[in-house]
Amino acid sequence: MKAVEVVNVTKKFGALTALSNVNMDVDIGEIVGLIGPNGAGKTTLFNILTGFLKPDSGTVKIFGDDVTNLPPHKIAQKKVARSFQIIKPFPSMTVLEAVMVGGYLNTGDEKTARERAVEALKMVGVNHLRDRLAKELNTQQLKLVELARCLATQPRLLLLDELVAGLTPAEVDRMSELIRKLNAEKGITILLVEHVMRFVMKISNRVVVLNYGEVISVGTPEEVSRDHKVVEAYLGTKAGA
Amino acid sequence: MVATEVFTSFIQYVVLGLMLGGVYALAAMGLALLFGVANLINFAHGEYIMLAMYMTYVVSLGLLQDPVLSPIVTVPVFFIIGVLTYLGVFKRLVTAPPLSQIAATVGILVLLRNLALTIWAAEPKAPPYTVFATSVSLGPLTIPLDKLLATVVSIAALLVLYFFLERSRLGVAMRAAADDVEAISLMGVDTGRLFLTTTGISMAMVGLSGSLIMTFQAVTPTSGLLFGLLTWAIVALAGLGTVRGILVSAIIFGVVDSLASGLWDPRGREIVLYGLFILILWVRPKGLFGRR
Amino acid sequence: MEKNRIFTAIAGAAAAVFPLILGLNEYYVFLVTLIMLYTTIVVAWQLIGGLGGQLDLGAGAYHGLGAIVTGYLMVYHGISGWVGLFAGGLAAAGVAFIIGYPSFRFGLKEVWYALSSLALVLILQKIFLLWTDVAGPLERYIPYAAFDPIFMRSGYKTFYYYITLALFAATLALVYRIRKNKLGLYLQSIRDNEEAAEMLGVDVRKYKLIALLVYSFIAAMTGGIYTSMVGFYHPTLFDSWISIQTVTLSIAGGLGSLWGPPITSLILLTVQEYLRITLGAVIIGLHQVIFGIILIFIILFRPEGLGPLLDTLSVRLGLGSKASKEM
Repeated sequence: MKAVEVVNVTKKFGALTALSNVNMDVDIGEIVGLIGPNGAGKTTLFNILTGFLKPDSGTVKIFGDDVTNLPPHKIAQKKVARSFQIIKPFPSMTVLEAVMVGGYLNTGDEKTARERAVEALKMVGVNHLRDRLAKELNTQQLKLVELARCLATQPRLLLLDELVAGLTPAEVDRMSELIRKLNAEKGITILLVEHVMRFVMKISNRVVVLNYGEVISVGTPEEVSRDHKVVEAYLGTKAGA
Repeated sequence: MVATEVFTSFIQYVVLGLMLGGVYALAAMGLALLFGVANLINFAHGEYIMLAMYMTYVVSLGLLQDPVLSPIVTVPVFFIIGVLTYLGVFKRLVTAPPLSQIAATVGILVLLRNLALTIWAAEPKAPPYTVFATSVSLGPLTIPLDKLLATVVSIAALLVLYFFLERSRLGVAMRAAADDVEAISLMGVDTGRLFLTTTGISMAMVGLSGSLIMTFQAVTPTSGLLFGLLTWAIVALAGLGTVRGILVSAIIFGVVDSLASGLWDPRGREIVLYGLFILILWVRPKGLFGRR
Repeated sequence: MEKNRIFTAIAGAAAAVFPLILGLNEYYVFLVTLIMLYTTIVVAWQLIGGLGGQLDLGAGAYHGLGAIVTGYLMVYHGISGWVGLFAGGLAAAGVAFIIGYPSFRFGLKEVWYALSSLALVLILQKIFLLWTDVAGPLERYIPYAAFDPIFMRSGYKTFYYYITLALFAATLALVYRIRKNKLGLYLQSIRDNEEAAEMLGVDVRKYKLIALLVYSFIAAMTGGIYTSMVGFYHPTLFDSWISIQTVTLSIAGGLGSLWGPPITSLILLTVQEYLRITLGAVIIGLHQVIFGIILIFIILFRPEGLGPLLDTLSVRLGLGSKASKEM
């Protein structure tokens, strides 16, 4: 059984083909990076994996279950968590309350939810912010809170959408350590969309490259960075550039 | 003998409904324009229509004897009302969350409705005699000339709007805004001015449709709620994409309205209309001709 | 926290003996009961509107339905008002479900629920106007009884004062509890960001429906109490004004605040009644025009409403921390 299996997924928006016959998978316990130029279809794929969009054709399986037509909350209940490219905070709630929303997944017990929330807050390092209202925090802090929210659901699969965009190199390194720890100690499978190359290449076991809605390369970070198709996709070919 | 009479009655109501729908389309178009272009939810749209109907009544009692001439007053006056409403209220609402827009326009709804109640009281008001109060015979059918004229004017106005949206620079800007407001403001379009004009045009259409609707029914302070829900229901069925979509949707509602009043009970028409609205929510919330 | 308990105890005691303070004057007790009934709707509305973030305009429908159902059962079937209250609540919840279920689909814009809840008020009014077996255009009168607690009918308004007080207190306690438990947190997350909530496993539609069903049930009960108190029912009890009043008072009181809406409601409704008594029906609909202006003004200039002001005031009085006031 694989963590994620995407089989022949196609998605069109009117005349625009966002994804074309995409096939990819993620093994349990892996860290896979999803890269590609802007508009390649990465976020569309994420939206399909998490139920915010339905593919026109193809199937998606997560931990062996067919989730192609499931709504987002049902997929989340299968222990899949996702952070958003543009952060989506809960402005009027305190940090602890917001993370407890995650903690209440599949349980009605307040104590359990609170314990999970606090554990997640400590892991991410924002427990000191727990009583602050989300609307008082800056973007950096909100990103971390969003990550804590995800972790409070105790996911088996974590989808990260441009987690380190806008962070300083030191912060990027700290995030890498955190992700690595989550993967190694908690066994969380991780699929991340990224533009910051040094982060993705350093941390991923494997990398999948998308361009114009198609998978053009799959392999280890070294293999992929040497693949001329990938180089062309990012830099353009001499002819027809 | 009886069967053909019933059949003729039925066709009569359908024809009336088609005409009514034509006029409703203009009323709904103003709403769709505001919602589509400026992303503004106007909960008081029906009250503005009601106001236009009252204005028609007042104007045809006084200056312009024949209500046929009332658009001369209502259209420009309502354009100005639109501009004033935008500057006074809508301008701040455009960036506000949808619930704030709804709440604030509900405030306008209450204001206008009670203003009407205070000024004109609760009895229905209908405009007096018009020179077009005759009928044309089409085989076994009787077609009232004033209603026919109203429908023709409405369709003409919709055609003008259609070409405006397709061909004129302002119209194209409005359609672009409906797609992506950020993009057009980056291209140098003054969205404030655009929304101001859109509101003005939307209200001018309300002004015209108010005058036209008066050929079909009288006005009371509760008419606002009826037309508000009706125009929103039309937009729900049509989606926001096209003038054609709004027209078809409005005609469906017009025919249903006419048949319900004629074949069942005039007091039941609201039950049928709102019931249809709720049905649409269950079955086709994205509308028949939606572009998105 | 101790100050909180003392304050609540004093308020509770005052409420318990209030009719005596009014000298058991039937008219004044009636007014106070009426104000408390409408305030109960405002408090219940916090579930769907304040916590859930849905602009519900159906209060008039649910209140009216409770009145008609309770009244009808009392008049034509001799069924006790207590049962009637419950039946009315169920009927209202059922009707609420019919418009709530399709409207609460994830991603469907809020305006459609606002519209359909308003439509509900009008549809029900027209249905019961035509349905002459149950209601129709004539008022239906409930048989008089000086004091029949089993039937839930009395000529003394004080009887209804205490029933209403019980409902009001229970509703306050309910909302107080819910706002910090799973339901409350889930609703707030839906209000603040539906997409993020979905991604955390929150079944958006289910929780909005729960809030709606509880609120509509309570609103219907206020209608049942009302009709038993005034002794008759009529389709005009389906009044869109009740819907608008509830929303206005909630927004004026501040959607993020627990005490703001009920306190604002009690104050403004009392002021409204006072104006009605002194100015009489001088200008019909004047108070409604004022409500309209209040609504526009608050949304444009002070969207947080009076809530934060009241919260700061109570913090100064030592009645708890700032965070505990937020909903």
